[in-house]
Amino acid sequence: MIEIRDVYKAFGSGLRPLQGVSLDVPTGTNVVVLGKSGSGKSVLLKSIVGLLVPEHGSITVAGEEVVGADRRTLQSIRRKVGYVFQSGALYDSLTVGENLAFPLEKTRGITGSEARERVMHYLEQVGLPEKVNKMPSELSGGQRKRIGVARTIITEPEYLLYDEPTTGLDPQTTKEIAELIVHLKQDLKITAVTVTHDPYCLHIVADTVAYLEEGKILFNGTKDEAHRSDVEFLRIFFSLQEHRV
Amino acid sequence: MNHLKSVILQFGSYTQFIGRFFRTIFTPPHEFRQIMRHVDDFGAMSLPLIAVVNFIMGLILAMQSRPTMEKFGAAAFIPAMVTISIVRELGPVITALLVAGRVASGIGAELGSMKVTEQIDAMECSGVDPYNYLVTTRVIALALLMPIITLYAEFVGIFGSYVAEFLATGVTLRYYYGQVIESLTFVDVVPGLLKTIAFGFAIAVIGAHKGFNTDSGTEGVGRATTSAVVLSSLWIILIDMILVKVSITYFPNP
Repeated sequence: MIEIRDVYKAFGSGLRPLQGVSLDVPTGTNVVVLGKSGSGKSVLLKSIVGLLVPEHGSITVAGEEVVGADRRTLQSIRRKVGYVFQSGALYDSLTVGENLAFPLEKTRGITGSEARERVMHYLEQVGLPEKVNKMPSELSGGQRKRIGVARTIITEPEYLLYDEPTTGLDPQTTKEIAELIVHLKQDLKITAVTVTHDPYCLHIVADTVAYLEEGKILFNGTKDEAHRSDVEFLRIFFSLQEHRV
Repeated sequence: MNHLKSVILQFGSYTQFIGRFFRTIFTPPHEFRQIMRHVDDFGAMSLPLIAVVNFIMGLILAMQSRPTMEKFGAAAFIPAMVTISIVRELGPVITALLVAGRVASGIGAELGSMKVTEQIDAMECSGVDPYNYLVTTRVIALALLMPIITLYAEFVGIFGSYVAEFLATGVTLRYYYGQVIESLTFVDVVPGLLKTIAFGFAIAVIGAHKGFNTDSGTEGVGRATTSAVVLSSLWIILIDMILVKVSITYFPNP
């Protein structure tokens, strides 16, 4: 379970994206976080994994405190949490296979034939085994995102944080990635937080929905409750979903 | 006032950055394979340029010196004069400035683009220390490589001066190199090579710091690249000034 309590985060520029955020992510669920652009959704995800340090509040992942944790504790937390970046964030200088093998070798000490087998297994999971020797620059946006997912799940994390996994993709790839997220949750029992602007992605992957505005969670409930909510952003969002889905 | 604040903040940021280097250098994992890869890359990146520039520099130095030296009847001292100029000062500094142009910009651009495309964050998330993997390895590689590159540059520079002298007088290579070796002492060679370790350290630290702290997307990468070259060139000259004074104090001329 991920527990976020009264988290505040500000930047030197005067920006204060999180102003008392509290949210629970129960084990085995996928919580979709919605919010306007610049509302602090990615800041929240980065705070969960310790990439950004909040000024105040508490974030626990499987009982371990992230805020103020030392490097060793953060490493222990990061072994449990995978982060899927918006762009895929694949290492440019490595091939797809090397990208996947990198966290295996560096954090789990798995090399050689065992690493190769695992790389091929997870590439098959995301449907791209033939890309093993390609460089990231030779992949399309959707392929990069799928490889990014494969690189994240190859270390078998218990939690996954998806930062806009379907943004900028065509409908077919959006569907494939959304289904992959559902498949990972069901088959690997992964607990997830998904930040998205995509009504279709929300429709497919969400167990519950949280809405972030002005640094606070203004709504937290099921999809049905979100659908009936009188929060203006959610009304507009779900009316768009009805048009698209 | 704002400028002063920014200078102090930069100084603090560099101090932290360098402090982190000395912490990670003694902490496993030690990425030896990565260090060797960077030695290979940096060498391949700079050697052709360094060879051409140092050859021409040696050639010009000998050509420019000849008329004046002849006027004073001291043409026989040209090999010694050119060699000492190259070995003590011109070789190390010119090589470091060329490496700053090639390698500092390369490090700044590579790490900068990794930063803006979240690759450094991805590495951090996967439990790998990006500082150790990306910065420490590059700093060690360049600090180790600089004396080797400089030795090579000096050799090529002296060969350039021989070519000029051969064209002017027909002197043999054997005789010329005999003169060169005779003119050199430990005090000429070693301090010059040792200071290149400091140059390599400065070039890699500045390039990596600029890359690691890049923001504002691709525009930021461009800024990081340019300022890495400018700042590392400036620091090479400053470090040289300090180390020349130190070497004169501790290794006085015989």
